[in-house]
Amino acid sequence: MQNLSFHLEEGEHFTVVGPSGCGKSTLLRCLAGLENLDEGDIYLREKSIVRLKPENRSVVLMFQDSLLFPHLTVLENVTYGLKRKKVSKTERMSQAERMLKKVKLFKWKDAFPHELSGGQKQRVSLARALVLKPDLLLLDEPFSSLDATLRESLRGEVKDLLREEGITSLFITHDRDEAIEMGDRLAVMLEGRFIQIGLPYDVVTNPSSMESAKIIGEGLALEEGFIPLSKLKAIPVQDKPSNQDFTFVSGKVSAVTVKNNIECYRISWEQGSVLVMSDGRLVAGQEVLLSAKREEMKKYSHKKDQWGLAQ
Amino acid sequence: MRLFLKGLGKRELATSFMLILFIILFILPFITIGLKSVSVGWRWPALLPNGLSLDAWRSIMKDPKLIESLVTTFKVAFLVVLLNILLAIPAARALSHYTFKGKSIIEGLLLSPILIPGILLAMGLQFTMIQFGIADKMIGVVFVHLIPTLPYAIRVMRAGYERMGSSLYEQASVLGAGLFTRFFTIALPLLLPSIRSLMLLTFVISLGQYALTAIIGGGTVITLPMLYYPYFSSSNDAVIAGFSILFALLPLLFIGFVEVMMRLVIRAVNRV
Repeated sequence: MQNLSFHLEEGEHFTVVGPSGCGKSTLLRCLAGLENLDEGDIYLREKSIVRLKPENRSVVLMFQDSLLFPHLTVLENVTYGLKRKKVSKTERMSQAERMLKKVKLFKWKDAFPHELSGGQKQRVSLARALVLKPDLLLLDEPFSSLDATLRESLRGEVKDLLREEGITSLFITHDRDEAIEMGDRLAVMLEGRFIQIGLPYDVVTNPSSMESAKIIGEGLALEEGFIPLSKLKAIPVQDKPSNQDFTFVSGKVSAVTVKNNIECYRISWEQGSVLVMSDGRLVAGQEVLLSAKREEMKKYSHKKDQWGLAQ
Repeated sequence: MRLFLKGLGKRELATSFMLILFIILFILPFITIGLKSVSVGWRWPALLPNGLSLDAWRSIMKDPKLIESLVTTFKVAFLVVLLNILLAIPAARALSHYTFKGKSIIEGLLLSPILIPGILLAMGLQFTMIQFGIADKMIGVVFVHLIPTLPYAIRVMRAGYERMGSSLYEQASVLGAGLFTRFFTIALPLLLPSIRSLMLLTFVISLGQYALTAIIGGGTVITLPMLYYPYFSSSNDAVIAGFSILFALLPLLFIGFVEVMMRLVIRAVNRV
């Protein structure tokens, strides 16, 4: 990580998105105290916590794998942290049972982790974290090991639960849709630094740089600017207009697919692929042009805030 | 017979075969040794002894050093097991969870006693132990028994730690567990199978040590092998067989002790 500075408001849900290996997990591990900072500080409620051990911070990290303790039942897993805080047995049971009801796993309270499905394990892991009412909850790609349908349903559940409990959270992912849905604010991370922070919709539709556009932008990230997906059309090569008002990028239909019940083309081009709405004319394997009016192209803003962070 | 075999499926045949093999390899020798210990005049190629007698057992029980050797054997073995647990657990954790300079050299050093003949090491250690005043004493024998046992203990515990991984430790720490709590509530319950294997393995290895005990014990520390092995030069097979049964019973008793200990540990851990 390099020169990373940001702040969270209480109750805020902050998402960090970036490619694998960019430093997202390292960020969480440093906040949780599992790794040391070479320089800098971390403040929680205006108090420095950088010298505190993980067990003394009011920060809970929910790992990618649910990491339930295999020798403890679901209820014992959920009460584990409360026992460390010397909460009385009656109170522990009451809080744990309340949280298990919220994640709809109360009837599994006496089961062992190996008896649960992947989604159930993640919900127990979430209950175990939330029951401690931490000042900051860190979620390290908690849905990455689940299938697409389960990911979508669990995403909504987790978001609602975090709001209900009023927990401040930092969520990291490499999935664009997840990044947009989970956070009140979104940061784009690359090579250990934030390259853009803003509201999810703004970041996605107005990336400040080509790097940001490539990671999170919904559209084509070109050198000269960004073309939002809504302005893109896929046309057969022979239909290329001579009009100079358009810009073109060569591509190929790699698949005809369905997203959110709408038929789309997945068009592969030099730097990746995009999903473009289908007009029924193209077939898989066909060479095409991605076209948009030049005036629709958005120049990269390169706007920065007072901390030098792109907005 | 053919009808009987025809009625059995492949799985039943395999199970029957394994059972017969188990009986031949493990149960039959016990029965043979047991019969030998109460036999009179049983020589090859006779299938059964000429007569039965308890003379061999009377001779064993009359030996004035029997009780002393049993007590010393247990004391030495218990201390060896305890030292192995205390040393192998942190060593195994360091080797499995941490990367540091010189790790491969330390690994090699810790496992080298398996490769170097124990007697060679014992001869060298004897001079050092004389200087420290622990030669010819039980504590010296305990230390020298670490040579053949510690490498295996570390390997067993390391396998346990690698199976457990370090992530559960990290999860416990972010949930508020300190160092000792993490060990007692997470590592210990998950490592109990490895600790059980370590205890049995080191007990059995320590039990069978003759040369190391003789060199360092100097004949003053009398364990059961010290009493038992000289009988091999005699022609009394029944006495040798009797001692063998005694030898075989000790690990079985120890298994019972280990199981009781495990249950107590689990109960204590659940209270933490």
